[in-house]
Amino acid sequence: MNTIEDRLRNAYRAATEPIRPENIPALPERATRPERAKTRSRRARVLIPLAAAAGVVAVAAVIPAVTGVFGNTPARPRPAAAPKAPTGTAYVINSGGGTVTPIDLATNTPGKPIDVSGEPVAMAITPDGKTAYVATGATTGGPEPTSAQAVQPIDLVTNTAGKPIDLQWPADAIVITPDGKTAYTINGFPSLAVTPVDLATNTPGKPVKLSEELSAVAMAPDGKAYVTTTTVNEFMPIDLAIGKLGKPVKLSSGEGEPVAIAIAPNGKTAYVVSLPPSPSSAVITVTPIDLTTDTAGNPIKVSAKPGPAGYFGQPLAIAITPDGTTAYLANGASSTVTPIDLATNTPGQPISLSGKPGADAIAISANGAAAYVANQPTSTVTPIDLATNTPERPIKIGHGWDSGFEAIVTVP
Amino acid sequence: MPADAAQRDAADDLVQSLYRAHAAALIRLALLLVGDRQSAEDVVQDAFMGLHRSLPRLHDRDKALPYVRTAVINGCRSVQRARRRMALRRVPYDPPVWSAESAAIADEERREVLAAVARLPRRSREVLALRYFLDLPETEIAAILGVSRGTVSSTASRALAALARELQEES
Repeated sequence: MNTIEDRLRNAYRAATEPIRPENIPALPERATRPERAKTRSRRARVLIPLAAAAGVVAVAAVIPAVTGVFGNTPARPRPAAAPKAPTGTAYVINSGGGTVTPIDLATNTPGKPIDVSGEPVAMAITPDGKTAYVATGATTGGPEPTSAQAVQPIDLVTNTAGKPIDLQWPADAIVITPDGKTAYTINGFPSLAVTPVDLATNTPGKPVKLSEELSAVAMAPDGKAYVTTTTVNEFMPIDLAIGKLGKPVKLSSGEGEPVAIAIAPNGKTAYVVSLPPSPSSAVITVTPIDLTTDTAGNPIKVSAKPGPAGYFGQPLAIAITPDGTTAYLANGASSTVTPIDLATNTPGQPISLSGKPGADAIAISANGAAAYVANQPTSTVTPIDLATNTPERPIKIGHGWDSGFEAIVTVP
Repeated sequence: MPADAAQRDAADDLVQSLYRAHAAALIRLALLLVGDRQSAEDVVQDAFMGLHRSLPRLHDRDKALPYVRTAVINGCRSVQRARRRMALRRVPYDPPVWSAESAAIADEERREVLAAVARLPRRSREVLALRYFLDLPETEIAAILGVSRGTVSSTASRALAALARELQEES
């Protein structure tokens, strides 16, 4: 009787011919010495330039959403006479280049890239808008803590990086409490922990172990945090101080892994983005969740182009306008941004970004005038005029070959 | 010989002997997760280099093998992350062994099974490979992935069910 286990074992064996000892590449003599290892890792970097990029892919893909919406961009309603021109600054987090690049939104001009330690993957901004905290998530190590993983503050007035704060584990995501006192870094694989950082003294607290690997995290304006995990189709509150997951809200079972969460500025509804159920499927699901009753609403289906063959998952990011009327879903596989009317929960016509620039991360200016889509493959940021939903001329950031745009965050 | 040099040689020996004993199985494990031999070899070599760098901090030498297994899983994830980007840039890499373009598997049934596995979520693929290729007990898989044993068990059974469903639909 051929059980599924047997079929799997046979397939595994067929895929991996036993390797003869003489065919195992030798660890060169003394290659294990740290100095040699350095050379080696540089070579690996050339082979796979972004291999060491950032934490857990799902979390990385999510951060744009989280930081874009929550990265403590003040959730204020759009003024009656909405200003047409965007103002403020967007920050592009580039894990490949190890930089954070400011863009002046009034002129769409990029400023000088700010060098940060390690490979930045996410950023959160203090409620006063004066300081950003960048999480670095690069990790290829094993399960032992290394204490060289950092969170780094950036002074947003002078756009200069401060002294890195060492953590035991790399950070894949970061949220800051509404009172501005604490940042919580989510440490992904291999640690699965949350480490608090006291923002008054910039000192890390003790990591708290998590029972599940998180795929997304978001903080509501009232300071309650919510997560999704890589293992179950559920959305749940989390007490970040003790790492304890609360009662889950089930998402419909036919979806793929949940990868991004955005919370409406009024804090009443969360939107969970799930991958298509299989790579051949073309449907992304956005599930609205009523946070006052903890119930899932009817899933919103957004058609999407499937990702290229042999590639797992696809970048998806979501941002909500400050007035809470529209969500914008960025889809990296199809290079489109789809507006979703949040009054009726219906998706609109997808906005196509010209020239296949990708769409890996999205943020909306604090005054709601424009969205900014970070495109990894072309190292550009495309502004979208939200009055007309039309993309504007892309803004070039960095070189291209080393780009690893993980997130984009706006400040007023 | 100075004490630190002796210590260094002992560390070299430990890494080399672990490499000799486990590299082949780990390369095959990585191959199942990343799909091509070159990337798999790179991941495993990097994991052993990492082990060497971390040895001074590793108090219990029995933890060396779990360390390196975790590092291999971690390295495979890095490769997949890089590919996510490379796919968007149209940078070519070897087609995975289970793809139609690869001649690695002659048997259609086995290719179908692996292609179905490749469509599962990442965590499921890791649990299945550790469980049904390396034949590790659930407690060890839980330690490698840093999750509870219950999570390993439920992930495996969900993954098998999904796999059975998918393969049934195809045939």
